[in-house]
Amino acid sequence: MIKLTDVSVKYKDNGVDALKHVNLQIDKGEFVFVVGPSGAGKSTLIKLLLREIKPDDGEVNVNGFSLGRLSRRHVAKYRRSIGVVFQDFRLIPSMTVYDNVAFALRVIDASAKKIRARVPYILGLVNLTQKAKSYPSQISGGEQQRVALARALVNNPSILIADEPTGNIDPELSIEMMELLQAVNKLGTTVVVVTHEHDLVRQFGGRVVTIQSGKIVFDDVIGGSHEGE
Amino acid sequence: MKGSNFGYLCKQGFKNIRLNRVLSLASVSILTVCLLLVGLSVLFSENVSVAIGGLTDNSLVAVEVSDEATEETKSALLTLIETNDNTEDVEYIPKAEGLEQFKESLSDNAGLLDALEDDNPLPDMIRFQVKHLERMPETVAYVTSLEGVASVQSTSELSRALVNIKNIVTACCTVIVAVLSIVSLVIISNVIRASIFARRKEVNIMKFVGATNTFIRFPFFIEGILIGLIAALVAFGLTWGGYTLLLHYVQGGDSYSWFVNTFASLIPFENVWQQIALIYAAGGVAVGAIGTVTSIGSHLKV
Repeated sequence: MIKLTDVSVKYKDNGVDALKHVNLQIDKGEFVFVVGPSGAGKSTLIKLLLREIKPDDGEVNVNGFSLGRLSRRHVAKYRRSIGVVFQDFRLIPSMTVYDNVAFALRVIDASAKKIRARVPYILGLVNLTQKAKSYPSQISGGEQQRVALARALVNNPSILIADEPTGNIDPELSIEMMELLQAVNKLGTTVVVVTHEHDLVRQFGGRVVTIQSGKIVFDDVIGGSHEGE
Repeated sequence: MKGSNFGYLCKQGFKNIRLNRVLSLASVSILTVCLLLVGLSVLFSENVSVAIGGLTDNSLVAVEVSDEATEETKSALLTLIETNDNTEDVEYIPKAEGLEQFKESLSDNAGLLDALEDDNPLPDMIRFQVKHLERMPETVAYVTSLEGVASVQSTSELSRALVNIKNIVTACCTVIVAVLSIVSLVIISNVIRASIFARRKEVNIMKFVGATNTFIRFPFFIEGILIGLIAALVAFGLTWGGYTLLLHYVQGGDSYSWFVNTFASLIPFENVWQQIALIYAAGGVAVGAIGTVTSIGSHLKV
């Protein structure tokens, strides 16, 4: 599903080795936390998985796509196979909640019928049916993050990548967001959560990959204290 | 692309114009001014051509036939002039008819010429008009060289000067149109680039959701075309109004200025509106569309 083989990334502008000979495998249906301090290489990992950058060395393979060799015109096709949730939500401000979610279906040329059926269903899953006609500026940070989650899920992606999904929301809403991600994982979607909130990781437990100075220094399953619903 | 998506993307194009109304207004204004200048150049060039054409209508060539020429020579000369590819309305005027015409021109004093009827000193004449003014010197030289020709009177110098003026005006207008096209393309590209820069985050989000470049470009493309069409419409309205006012002023007949006399016969707008509308619509749409497509490229490399 996700396989990094001996991957290295060096930023040419500042000469920093962001990732050094990283090997990582995440199988279908897993829930994985990627943690580490600022500058450890987490963002670089996300950029690699989004095919924003290419590895200087090694191979990144996701959903059968070899990202290092992926041509520019196939990037869109690859990105449609994954769902992404960003720390800053990245919603389109000129679109309503409904349209933001529907947009992910429109780019894959989904029919109007499918959009009409799928979007209200997903908005219901994240409990935002009542906010469908609101604009991002009219809803709270937690709600915006749920819209971003709904947009990431609406295409039924096999992998969901969440980059600091709780970074801009309240602690109570962070728990709610993590529960939503766990629920998504239980439906069969592979979930990768990149975060620096160790407390949250300890609370939920599961497979934890720790990156430090561009290297994986810990990769194991830990127990959590949070009791799911 | 499915029909529903096509409709959605077109709607987004319209919506973009509304949401970015300040930049859209700036684009429409700049493009309108550029189109107006192009349109005015074309109208000026057309009117100069027609005005010069009008002047040259009266520039006849008169050939004085030699007294020694036989009837065969005269007939051959007439045939040669008639068959030349740059002559038209060729007319043979025998000396007797020439005298009659002369008398008619003198009207009340025609009696003065009665004494000449027995010994008519006028030569036989051949008159014609040239089809292409710029080839007049060549035609006059040809006719002068023919057998039986005593002399040729023409307005070659004047014609040459008029043709030169016409060519200079046409060349200047062509240069103006070309320069304005480039200037408007550059300005519109920059305005649209600013508009896209303001929405670069949106473009970025679209890329991460898996939108293709075509999908992202399309609403901008529609936006560019709409801006071009609106500018074309405004420019056409202003040209129509302005030109009609000018015609009213010129044809009012209450002014004797140099301008009025020179352009007393302005082309009616009905005769040129289709050409102007086509130039505006094609120019506006082309500049809008090309400006958009060339501006967005760098923001798509995510």
